[in-house]
Amino acid sequence: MEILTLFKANIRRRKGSFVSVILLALIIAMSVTTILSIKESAVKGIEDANELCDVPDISIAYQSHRLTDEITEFLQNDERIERIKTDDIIITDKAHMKGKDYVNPMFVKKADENIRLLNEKHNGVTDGAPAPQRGEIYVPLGFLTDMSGKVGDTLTLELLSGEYDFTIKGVLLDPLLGCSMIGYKSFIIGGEDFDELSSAVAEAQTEERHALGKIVSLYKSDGCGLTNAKLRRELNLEHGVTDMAIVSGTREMYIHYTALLVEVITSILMVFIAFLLAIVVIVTVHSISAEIETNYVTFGVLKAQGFGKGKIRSLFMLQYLSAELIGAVIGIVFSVPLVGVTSNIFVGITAIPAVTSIPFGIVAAIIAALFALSAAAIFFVTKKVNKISPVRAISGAKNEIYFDSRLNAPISKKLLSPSLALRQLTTAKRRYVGTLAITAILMFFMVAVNSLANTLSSKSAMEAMGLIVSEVYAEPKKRLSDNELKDIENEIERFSEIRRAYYTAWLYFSFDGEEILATVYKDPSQLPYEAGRAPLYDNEIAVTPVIMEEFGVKIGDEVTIGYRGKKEQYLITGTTQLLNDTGRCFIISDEGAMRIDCNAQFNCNYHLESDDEALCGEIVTALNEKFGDIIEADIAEVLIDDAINAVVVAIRVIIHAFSILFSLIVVYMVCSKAFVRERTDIGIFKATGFRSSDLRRQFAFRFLFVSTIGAAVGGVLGYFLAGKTLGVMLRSVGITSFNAKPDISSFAIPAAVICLCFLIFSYLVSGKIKTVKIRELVTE
Amino acid sequence: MKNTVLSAKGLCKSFAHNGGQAHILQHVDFELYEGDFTVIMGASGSGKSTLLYALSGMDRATAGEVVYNGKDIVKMKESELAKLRYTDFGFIFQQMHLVSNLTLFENVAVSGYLNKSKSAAEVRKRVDKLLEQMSVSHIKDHLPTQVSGGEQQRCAVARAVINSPRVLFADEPTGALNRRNTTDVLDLLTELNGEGQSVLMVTHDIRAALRANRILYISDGKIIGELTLPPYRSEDEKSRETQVNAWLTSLEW
Repeated sequence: MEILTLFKANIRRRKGSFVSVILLALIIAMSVTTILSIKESAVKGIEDANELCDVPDISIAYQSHRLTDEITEFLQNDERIERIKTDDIIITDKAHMKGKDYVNPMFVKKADENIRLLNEKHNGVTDGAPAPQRGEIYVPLGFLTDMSGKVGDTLTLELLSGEYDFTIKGVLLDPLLGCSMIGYKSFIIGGEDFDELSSAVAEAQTEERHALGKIVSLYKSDGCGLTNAKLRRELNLEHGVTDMAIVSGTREMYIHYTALLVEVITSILMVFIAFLLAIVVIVTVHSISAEIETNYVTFGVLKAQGFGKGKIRSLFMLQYLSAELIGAVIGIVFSVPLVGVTSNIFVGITAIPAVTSIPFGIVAAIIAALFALSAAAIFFVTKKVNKISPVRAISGAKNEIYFDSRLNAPISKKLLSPSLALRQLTTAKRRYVGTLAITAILMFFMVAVNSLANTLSSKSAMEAMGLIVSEVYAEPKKRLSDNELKDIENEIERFSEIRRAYYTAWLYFSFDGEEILATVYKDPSQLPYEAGRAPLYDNEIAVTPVIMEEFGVKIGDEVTIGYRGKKEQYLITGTTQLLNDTGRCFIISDEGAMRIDCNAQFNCNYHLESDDEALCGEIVTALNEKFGDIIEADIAEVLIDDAINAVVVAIRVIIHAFSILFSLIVVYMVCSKAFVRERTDIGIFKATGFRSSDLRRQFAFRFLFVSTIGAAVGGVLGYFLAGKTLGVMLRSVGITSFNAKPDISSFAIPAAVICLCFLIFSYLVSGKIKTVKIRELVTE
Repeated sequence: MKNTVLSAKGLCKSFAHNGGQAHILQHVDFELYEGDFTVIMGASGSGKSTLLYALSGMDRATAGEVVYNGKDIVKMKESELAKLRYTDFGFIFQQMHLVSNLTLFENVAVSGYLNKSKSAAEVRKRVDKLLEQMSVSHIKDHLPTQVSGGEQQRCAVARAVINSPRVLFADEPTGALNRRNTTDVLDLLTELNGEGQSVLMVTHDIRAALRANRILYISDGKIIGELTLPPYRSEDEKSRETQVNAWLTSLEW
């Protein structure tokens, strides 16, 4: 009862601190709930869509002539497979709309009873989906996002038999290939159109060029104890099922790719929230510590009246944990409508409407972790209460814990306010350690997110991470000879120096039985290698760290690489980072690919000295004029598409906004405590002739110093650790070594934001100084 | 005829109290003369400290005027009052009130630095001289918590006079000191007054009041008595004490 009485009195007297802790807990709880719910809702939407569309356990796309009767028979008779569905497809790798090209493999399918469409707002699925009429097509949302298109636009498909225009009639729900993270796409057209086009393509096909195919959907039998990935591998090892395919994938694999960006973004934000959680604990510790110091006499009197240290410590525990509980509950309640509004924000990327779901269990666990951390911190910091002696407290002898440093910084006449502010810091360093740590954390995150944004917009950084950077792109119409490639280069160099010419092809090979993307490089030494060396001979390959981890292989090991039935042993010579298929790929030279009868048709990318668009346009025109029979040149696409850029901008805004908000709350709390502690000093300064504005400037300078030091610490940490941290967070997209490219603005902008926030907020909060009357110094 | 340094007319000060108003000062008229050592005495709660704070501009009067250099300080803005504090007025508190994280030297120097008319070097030179005069120069680099109460108060006196104020205000400057330190501080104030410094001090200590050449007695917010004495000489202390005691007794002290 006595604790409750004191608790109520404390709340009345310290509303500011109480409300600040409530606010911090509210922000944490609301952010955690919203972020986790967005993720959960997106994942649930993907899972539901998989059920709704009867997505198979394994799907394999073939060119028709590669799907032999032998493979079909084998699959039909395998008891691990319950049923097989086969759909005819028309294959193309070029489409364009609104002047924009799409150059990934696309499968055009005939409408069937399983197709579903997204509603107009893209936040749900329509009940039925009529088959498209003649000249109409359904496309997935991920495709529309990439092409910046909308329903009603005209899409032109370049098929083997010619170009065909379609009107986009609806947005297809495609849990397999619909998301913007997957390059392959499938479209749905009406039966009549399909039959007509199939016949035309069949007529246009030659021995070298096949454009009709089949998608085989495999549904596992209940008795099959294998995972989908294991089953796919075994089917391939036993009968080369996927060796002959264009592409194959398991249900989990597509779910992984579809949810990938959601996972990455929410992970980055959750790491940030975890640090905000640490900030809440630091603020709590600081607040309690200051409270003990300023109420030393009160606690001494309470002890003299018989209050044990346990009761006083319980009072703190009750006070702060209840504030956190209130904040957490309000935060969760607030997040419910917020989740409803935001759960579908990733639909442009996943192409699947989210199904709103709040993971209350996980949220509760995280809030419980916050409580546990806070409780431990409170238990630790309130140990100071044990030292309070009633006699010392009542006699006012509290210096032992009041001043913790006597390091003198000189007081200067010219810089009186700043030098006094600095003295406040140097004589009470420990009081500002928490603030400094908080500033450093906020700064670190801002530097990290700025580095991320900078790197994504820096060609050299992307190149260093294994990406192909180019200004001019040429798609070959046949395998080009060395002489032809040289001629093309010479033509380009009439306009601009070529920094680097990339000749690459992406094909699926079997890697120890597993279908893995191979990047065939004409010159594999162009890539930066983390360890070992480039695969120079025809029996060598290099792998990514993701492959090394997944297959448990290392440099020096031998693996079996297969392509359309032909298999050979290859030696792993090095590791490098590649982002294709989220890092699940390997590198092989042209000679290496030819060893298993793969004559790769190289795409040509030219990274030029000049990135002037007009000049690049001239180069493209010149190439098409001169080499139009063997290549089709175009200006290279931007490396990072609009959707990813928008997401990075969103993360940047969220982290900066949260940092400003936290700065405000932290400054308010720390400044308020400092104000209470230094009330007498303020009165003294006023009595000697300082104006309130001088003293407010002193406060502001003090926080400016702390924030500057904190920003410097955070900046240094950011410089050395941002890349590593981002590498860990972005591992799931294949970035194992993030080449952070922080420039001056990556540091200067966050530092300016942080320091300015601290300066302005502390000046505003210190407005209370005006209320201090010199009369308070009078001893009656 | 002495010059008036500071004068007050109809000075009132009220505070909100228990839903009503407590009238601490009631139409006080007062004049402080140049070079005088004036003491205000009175019982606890009589309003003596309130009067001192109102006269020094540390607190604003509710009504009336306090004229200094022809200007009513009651109507002055905060910035004007602040300037007055570091140019013309010095103040000594009962509880010393030194800034705890500044050394004794710095506590004095900071007040000096506020005065734009002197260079930093001049201020430092004067601080050294004053601390020497106050006998605390040997501990000038100590923090207030590392020295005795008497030493702190001597430093506070030095701080109050660093800018050579025309008026030195002192609120019970010996209230927190032992007998020996009390004598030291009073000697310092007497010495400063002897050099021409106008002093206005509030005290309820008769021994402190003996240093004054003019004593005012305040009761219930009104000045009800005034005693004029010749300048202080230590050898006259006994007879002075008898005279002051008798006067105070007549005022029902």
